[in-house]
Amino acid sequence: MYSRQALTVLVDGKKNHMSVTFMEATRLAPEMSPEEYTRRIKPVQHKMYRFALHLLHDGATAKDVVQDVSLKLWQQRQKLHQIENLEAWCIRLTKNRCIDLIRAKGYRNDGLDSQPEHPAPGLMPDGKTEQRDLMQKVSRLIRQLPKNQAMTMHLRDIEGLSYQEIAETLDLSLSQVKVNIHRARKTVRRELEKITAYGI
Amino acid sequence: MLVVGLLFSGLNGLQAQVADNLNAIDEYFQNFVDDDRFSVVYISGKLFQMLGSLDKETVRMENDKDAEALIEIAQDMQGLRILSTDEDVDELYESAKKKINTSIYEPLMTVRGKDGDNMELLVRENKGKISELLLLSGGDEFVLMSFVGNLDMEKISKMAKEIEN
Amino acid sequence: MAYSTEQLDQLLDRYFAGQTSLSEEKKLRQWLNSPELPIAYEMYTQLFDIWEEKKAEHLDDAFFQSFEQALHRQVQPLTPASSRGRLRSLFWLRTAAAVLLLATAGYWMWSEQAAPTGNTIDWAQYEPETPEEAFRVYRNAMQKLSGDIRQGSARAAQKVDRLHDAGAYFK
Repeated sequence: MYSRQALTVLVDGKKNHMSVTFMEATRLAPEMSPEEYTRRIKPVQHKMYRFALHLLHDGATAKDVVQDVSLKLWQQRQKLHQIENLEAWCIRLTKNRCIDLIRAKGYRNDGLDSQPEHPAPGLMPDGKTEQRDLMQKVSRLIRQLPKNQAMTMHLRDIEGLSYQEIAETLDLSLSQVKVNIHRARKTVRRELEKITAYGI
Repeated sequence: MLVVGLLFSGLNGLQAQVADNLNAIDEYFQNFVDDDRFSVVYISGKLFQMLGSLDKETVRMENDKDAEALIEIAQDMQGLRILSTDEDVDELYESAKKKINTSIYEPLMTVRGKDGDNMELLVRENKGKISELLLLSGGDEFVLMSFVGNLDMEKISKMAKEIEN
Repeated sequence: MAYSTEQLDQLLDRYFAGQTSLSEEKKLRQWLNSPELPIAYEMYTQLFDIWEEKKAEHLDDAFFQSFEQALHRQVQPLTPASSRGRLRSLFWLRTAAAVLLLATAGYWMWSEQAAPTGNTIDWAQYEPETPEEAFRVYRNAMQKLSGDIRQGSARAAQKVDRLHDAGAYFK
């Protein structure tokens, strides 16, 4: 209770030894310049972009996400020296932002592709067109995978992260990561065999 | 218009000074403005207002209630000024203690230790309300902290009792 | 080929089962790029081509320019304002205040309370740049306030107890 009586006490207590002085705890962090921040975050932004792109299937929106997340992280830049794995952190923020967008807008999985689904009539079928077609079919399939599987596969097959790193980034257990990879790749293999068996 | 102009220019200076007079540290600190020993931090009322809009992750504390209590108290804060140093602590403590005008600042709590582990808590009242809370602390570090605002002492003392350190 | 189809099959099976290490996957990629690869396996090569293609996607200069601009727009508001800047922005507010005071004749009250202290300190230069940092400082300050108060109270309690014991002795 707040008492208005002045309380005077004579003691011979011992000094408190704190591991961090109050001075240190309240000292303002040295200012990070925007240039320094940009330099640090640039390599990570590419990864964030790829990640957002493969979740949202729209380049413009993916870029917006990267910018939004990067600007938000600038606001919290004093945290940067506390973050052990900046990439994992940033990708996680990107993932959350993408998922928010997907939920809010009711994002469609089969987003528009810049390339036509089917080759124009009259074109002679040759190896290249077939390859293009297979790529599109597989890309479309990957897009339709459950999000967790798609994200896991992306981080492994495209970004080359270890299962441990993927688990940390996506906040999944190691076994969940393994299951996701297995299921995603199994689906892809089935599709590949189907395409090849029935001809492209 | 001329009268308004004159009053305006006069008020301009005065308004800044009145606001600054609401805290004890200014007078004391003027002597130490270029003194490298001190770490100085200031949080303005404007910055305090922004705390309310921070997202939950940023203001996360061990105990959610602590975070809530702090944000609530922050709404009434108009300024926090902190002076601290780990050099010449005893000397600075004594000199600061002398400079505090006890007709304006009423001591709430005074602790004196044999080894200089001292502390004083004082408040300044303005028409029945507490407008400033002053903490003067010695021992390992010299700290002079001034909280200015429309302070609700019940909220603050509740927080002080419950917050996890 | 430096490997047999049996080996390739095995590696592929393990890959699709999610059992390969990163270096094994690298090896698989190399094997699938072999010019002697049987046609039946080409679909797998194409799969890995898809990975390569996706890996190559990156942000262009246009993005970074736009980002830098957006960043600088954010940086400005919180930099410590010079006193002259503050003066300008509060110009109308102060004018209105002056008029109001005139109207209520509160000016005299002001002139009594406001004893000019001479040089006033520009506290703005000691402000943190972001509200996040402000919270950190504020939290630490409150924890210290709390800690010091508790310590003070605890010592008072101790002292009372000690007196109590001493009193019992010397009764």
